[in-house]
Amino acid sequence: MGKMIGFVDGASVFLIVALMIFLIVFIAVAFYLLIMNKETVAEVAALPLEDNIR
Amino acid sequence: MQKEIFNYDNKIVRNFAIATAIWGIVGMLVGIIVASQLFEPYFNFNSKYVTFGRLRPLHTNAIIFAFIGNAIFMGVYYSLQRLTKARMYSDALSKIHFWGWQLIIVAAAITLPLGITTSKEYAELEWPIDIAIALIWVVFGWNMFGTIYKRREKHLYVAIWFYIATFITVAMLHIVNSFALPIGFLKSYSWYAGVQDALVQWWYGHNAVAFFLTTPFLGLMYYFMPKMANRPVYSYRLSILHFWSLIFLYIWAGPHHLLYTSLPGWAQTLGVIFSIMLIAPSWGGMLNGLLTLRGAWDKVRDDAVLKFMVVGLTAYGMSTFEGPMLSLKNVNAIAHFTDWIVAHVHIGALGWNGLLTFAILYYIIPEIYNVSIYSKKAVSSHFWLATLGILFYAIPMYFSGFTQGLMWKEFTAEGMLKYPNFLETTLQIIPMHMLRAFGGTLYFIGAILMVWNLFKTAKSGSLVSDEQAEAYPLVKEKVVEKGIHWHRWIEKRPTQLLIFSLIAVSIGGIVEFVPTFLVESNVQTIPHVTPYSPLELEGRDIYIREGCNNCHSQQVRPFRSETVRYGEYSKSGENVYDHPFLWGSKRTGPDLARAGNISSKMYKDAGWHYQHMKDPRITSEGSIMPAYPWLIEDDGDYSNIEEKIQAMSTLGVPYEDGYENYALEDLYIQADSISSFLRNEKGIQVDKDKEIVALIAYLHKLGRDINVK
Repeated sequence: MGKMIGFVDGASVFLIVALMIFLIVFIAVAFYLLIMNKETVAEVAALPLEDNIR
Repeated sequence: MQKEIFNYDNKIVRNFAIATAIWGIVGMLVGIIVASQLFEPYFNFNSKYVTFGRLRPLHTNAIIFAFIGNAIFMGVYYSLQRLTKARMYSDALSKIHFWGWQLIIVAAAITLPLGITTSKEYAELEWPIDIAIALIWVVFGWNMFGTIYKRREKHLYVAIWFYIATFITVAMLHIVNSFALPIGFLKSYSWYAGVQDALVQWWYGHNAVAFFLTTPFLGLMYYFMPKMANRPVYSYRLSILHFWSLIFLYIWAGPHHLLYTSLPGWAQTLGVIFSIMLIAPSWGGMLNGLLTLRGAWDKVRDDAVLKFMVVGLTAYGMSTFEGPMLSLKNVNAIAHFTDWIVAHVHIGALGWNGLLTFAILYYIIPEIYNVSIYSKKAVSSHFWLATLGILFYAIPMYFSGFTQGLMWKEFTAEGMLKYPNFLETTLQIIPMHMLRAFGGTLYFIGAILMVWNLFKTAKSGSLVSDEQAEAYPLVKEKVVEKGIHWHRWIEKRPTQLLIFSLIAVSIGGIVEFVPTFLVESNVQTIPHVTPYSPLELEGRDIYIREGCNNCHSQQVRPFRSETVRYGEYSKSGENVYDHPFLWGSKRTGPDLARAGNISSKMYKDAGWHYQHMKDPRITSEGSIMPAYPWLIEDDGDYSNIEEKIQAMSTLGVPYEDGYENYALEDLYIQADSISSFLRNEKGIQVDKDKEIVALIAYLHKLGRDINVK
């Protein structure tokens, strides 16, 4: 393995940025779900039920 | 616009269904054998090919990749065609995928009993098979994406998102964890060492559970539960939130397999935090599945297939609650290395994966043979056999786990270990292991009944190989949709969905790996820890071949109960030359990290090891360990010691330049000293070429360097 370095300056920022990304995406998706059109939801949710056309 | 007429390929679904049934029976049968070996060593049959150490990986691989793997492909090929309203992209790719996967399984079934293994749990297969897995996985992805791109349904149903995330994440996990340096056709050394290898392995191991045993089955659940209940999923909105939260959070939780080890504390804490957070999306998914049955619970009373789904989902909920609880450090301190973990994983495997697979088989076979199930009564009997089997399996294992964990930690009023002899704790749980084997047998009988029932069902109908269907073609939109929400946009675009999924699953791994691989303070070296001598290295390879790490850990946790029993707790610097790491995950036998440390109670001389390997009952009455007479009879093969030393040097182990040229000479000097000791001190005649000599050399290296001042 390559030689290791003594420390990474501001390494804790990694975790904070990662959590921020998650929270932003989570909130954005949650907001989208709230404003989602009811008919669209019903239509998409019914997809497995309409596939057997036989 | 006119509807297009096309066909679904049911033949490939049928083939994967047959493979699921056959490998399921094989994997479960091997499971019963290994379970029996844990209370009666006779079941090792005194054969080197069927000892517990070699069969246990065969059992786990057969169940995970053969039984459950084929079930995933069966369900995906069935549901993907119907959700996209398109035949699979290429019949040729389907066939290559099917036969390639079966060949990989056969290769595993041959190599593992031969002792050809990397030792890394659920990734034991050697590098040529690893490459084959990667290639066949690409074929699967190619076929899946080809089908998605030529679909007739614009929207990608949430089940397909789970399939896409499964595809990309399993590829990433497999490639990263399998990095190894080959030293021959069927032998390699892990690219990573010690604590880094442990982190990568359990990032892989935990997420193999997440992205091979969970996400594809959630996708299948989102398709088959509405089909079976004949009603849409309870909340499509919840399924979207479930998807993104689950794939992002799951990837971080791997370090909870390494609590109290020498993995840096911050990484352990991350594993714990994300494991707790995982309860929310996991239970969101379970509730979404169960609530799909709202207003239709009367169907469950009469329909055994729905019963399988309900109990399977309940098992999922139980194990995804138990998992986070086991990742709490205070619970983990008692549960880790015990049968509690075995109970936990089998609730998931037998309950969640097994029961859902049975339900899907019972649904699909009558559908593609255009006939009703042969015997509903047999389905119901199977359900009860499987459920009882799970209970008879899990409850004794929980008792066994609590018993082990508490006995290992119990002190007398005088401050001495109450059970200083590890064997006492093993013998105490023998009745539990018998009951566990009984539970497994019930589950197995149920599976046999299912195979008979499905065979009779297929015989009573005929396969609709090319099932006709019709749908409107998908018109490509030339006008850019304005004002459309970004998520709505992504739901129709498989490539973008793949990229976003890859980003979501990469973040956790990057945050955990980068500091552990780059920052010195995370893996502190110990100056007097030296590389393995050539003989010790050969002994280590024998230890790996025999799968000793399946029963013996090499990691003393910083508890008084462990330091008193074994010796000083383990540090990351001790394992910097360990390619691969051999910490293990279960203590059927005692920890061996201090087996070579003369100040440890675990130290035994070469004579003891000789007798113990010849027949463990000679030194340890009642031991359930198999005998290893072939180690005494067989000569070690040291023909490629030069390549092994060179490979280790390439991986960064600091042997002096040109050491490989006189490694063999050194090997025989050390072998001669052990052989002479046995002859002169113990009256045991053993040739220096014998494998037992190398194994003793290795065992005497474990923890030895810690004493050097």
